[in-house]
Amino acid sequence: MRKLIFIGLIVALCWFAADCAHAADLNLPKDAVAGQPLSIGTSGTGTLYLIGPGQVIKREFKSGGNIEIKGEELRSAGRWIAIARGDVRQSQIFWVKPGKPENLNFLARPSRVPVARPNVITGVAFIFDKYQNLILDPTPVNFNLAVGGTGSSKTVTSRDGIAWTNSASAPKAGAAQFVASVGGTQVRRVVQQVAADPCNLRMHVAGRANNNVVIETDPIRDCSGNPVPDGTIVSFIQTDRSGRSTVDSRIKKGIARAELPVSDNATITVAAGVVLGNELHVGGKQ
Amino acid sequence: MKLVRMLVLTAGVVLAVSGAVPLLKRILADSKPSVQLNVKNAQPREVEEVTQNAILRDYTLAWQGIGTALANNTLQPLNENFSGFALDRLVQRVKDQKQNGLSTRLIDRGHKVEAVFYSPDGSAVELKDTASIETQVLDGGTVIHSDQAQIQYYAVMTGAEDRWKVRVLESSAR
Amino acid sequence: MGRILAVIFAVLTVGLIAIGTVHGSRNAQASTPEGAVQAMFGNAKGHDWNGAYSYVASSSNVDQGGFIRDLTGRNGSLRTYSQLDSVNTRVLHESDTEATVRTELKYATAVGVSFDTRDLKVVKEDGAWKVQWPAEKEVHVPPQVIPVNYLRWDIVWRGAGDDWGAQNVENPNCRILSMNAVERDGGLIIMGEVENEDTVPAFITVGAVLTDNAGKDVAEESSFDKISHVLLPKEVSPYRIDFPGIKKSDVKSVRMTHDWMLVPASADPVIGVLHQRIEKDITGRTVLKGELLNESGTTVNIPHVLATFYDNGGKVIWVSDAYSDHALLPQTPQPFSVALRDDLAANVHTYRVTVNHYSREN
Repeated sequence: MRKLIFIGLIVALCWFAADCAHAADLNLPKDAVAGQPLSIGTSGTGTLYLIGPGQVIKREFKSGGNIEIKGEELRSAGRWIAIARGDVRQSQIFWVKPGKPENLNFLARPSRVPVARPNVITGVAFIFDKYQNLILDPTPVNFNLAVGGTGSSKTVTSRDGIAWTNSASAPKAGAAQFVASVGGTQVRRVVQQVAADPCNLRMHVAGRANNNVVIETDPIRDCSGNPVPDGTIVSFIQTDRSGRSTVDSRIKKGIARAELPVSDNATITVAAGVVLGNELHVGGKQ
Repeated sequence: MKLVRMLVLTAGVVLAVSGAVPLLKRILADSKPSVQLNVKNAQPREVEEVTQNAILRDYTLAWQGIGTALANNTLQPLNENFSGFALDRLVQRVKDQKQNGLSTRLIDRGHKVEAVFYSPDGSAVELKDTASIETQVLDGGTVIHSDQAQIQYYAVMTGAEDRWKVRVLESSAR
Repeated sequence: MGRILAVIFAVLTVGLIAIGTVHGSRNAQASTPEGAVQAMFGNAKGHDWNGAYSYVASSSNVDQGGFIRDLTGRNGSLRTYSQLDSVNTRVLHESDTEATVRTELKYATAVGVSFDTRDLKVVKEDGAWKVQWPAEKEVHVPPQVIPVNYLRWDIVWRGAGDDWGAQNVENPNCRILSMNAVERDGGLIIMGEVENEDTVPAFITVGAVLTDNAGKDVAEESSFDKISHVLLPKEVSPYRIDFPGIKKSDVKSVRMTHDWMLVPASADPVIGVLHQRIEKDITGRTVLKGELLNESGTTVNIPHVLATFYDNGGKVIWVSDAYSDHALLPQTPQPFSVALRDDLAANVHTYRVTVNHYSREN
């Protein structure tokens, strides 16, 4: 019985020793980086499979030489499995880290925003290396938002591969350049800052044409002085004894105009959306 | 006579077990993994309940799709649940596996997922997933590698036409 | 025997022809004013224009071509997409030589049923009643150049090859300005107004989901054509959503649903709505009447008028619509009429009319 136990222990010891010896057959570096060359030490003859998150690399090896993996071959960061088949049969897990930041995915929202609104513009940057591996280590990202040469800049350190910021829209209408940059990489987006609601909407009688009275607004601007875009609807409403007449006019070259039937005593009002303008009395008592 | 009977019975049991085990593994591979999603710590925006349910459903389907695609070397389950870099990467992995006569069996023992980022416009969400996975690499029908580990994954999901799709899926040693 | 048979067949043939002639003719002389109107429209319904025109009094001063165009429509108007469905007549006044017949024409159109009520004058000519057809004055727009330089909004969407982060053009910001739920005729009606607050055109849809006292969704509807779907910047449209057969007391809450989409659009045409007034029509119903004036240089084939009625607190108390069965020719006023519920007429403090337009592509 004692003999049997002894033999068993010897077998177990040999097994363990063989296993340890085999484990030493594959020498994998602990600091592999995506996009950088990798050297793997082997012993014996056989085939090596490197199975990564997005690829499988296969290499034959002989007489225990080193296997060289080129930088452009090692593209995916994450958990890899190295499997040797041949004289030795073993496998190991190793990790590949992402390379340095070289790509940004920049989500700038919205693409169009009214002027002078707080915290309406957001920028989200996803930081990737050359092979689109998400860089999870904290990385400083610079966000710059400028319209007409003036703007603001902010540096945000990424967390879990993402950096984000929010900002107010400028008081001046125009195409704002929103730029996110990390290292030597920068991505530009355009945020169109548009005029807000009309402010101080005023109209006057501009003359007569075809038996109609021509009503015209002053140049229509928002409260920051930006011209309200052409095409915006401006409603003219005339009320007299014969009823009401309305024209939904469009702003053209900054002003809106409408022809309304001539009346001996009419009240005319003007509105753009929910914003009301002045009131005119035409004919009879002015 | 008794010995013969025992032998026949043993052979029968061995046969049944040898047939049932791969079948069971196949069923496990094709079934939906268990996913627990916590959205309490999502920043900077709170995840709406409808979005939470949709993400849970679609992330679960994505992992089911990975399992099926890597086990059978098929691309269809990937196209349904992945987009962008994650799709490119997994498609390449399946093609490489097929070319080298390999396949991967994932025995998924569950995911503890935390939403860490939800974009202010609601178009992207980042998940941190602690997954318990047994990985078996097969050369033909032979298992040439097997390990069981807890793996940290970072996934970025973005809204697609009718579902959320995984756009980035990256494991990390962190 | 052969001769007898020949005679029998000849008589039978003549008899059958005679019977056929008598039954097939719809052009028998009308012995009553109502009969004349019915016969005229009966022939028109069957596209027997000669037959229909034979009931038109010579004093009408309308040629057959004009008469046909009056009935079948012109310029791609809604009437050209209509089919006369039924005619109801009632004699309002009758003497030996003339009568007035109220005629309610029901048309099946591409946008639903359309009614046209007219008081037709019927006169006796050569012993038969004939309809004095009120010929429509055919408008001919004088040759001219109408300069139109309004904006057009075209859109370049994000391409398939653009990277994931590249932002697409944003959908417009619109807002439901008001919502009012009322019970009318045993059904629930949700109405209000919606505004495009943005600087780009929007295609909008507004709907509502009703939830019962148990918190269950019981009905879902959209405003369909009781809304202007395309809104230019700062344009306001009414909407009305009908839930027939649902009582207000059975509904705990209303959840508004909407969709705002960016669409290419043109700022043209501008349609003025002139001389709007609330009055009674010939049947005594309350209507909002006025004239539409197409200020652009192209024909608007199917104008759709939407009227919003407000109480003295500025609340929307009714939204009604009407399709005009006449096209809007450039610079030519065209009358319109929109029904207003008689029970609400007294509460109407003010109103607003907007016009949707559908134009056949040239």
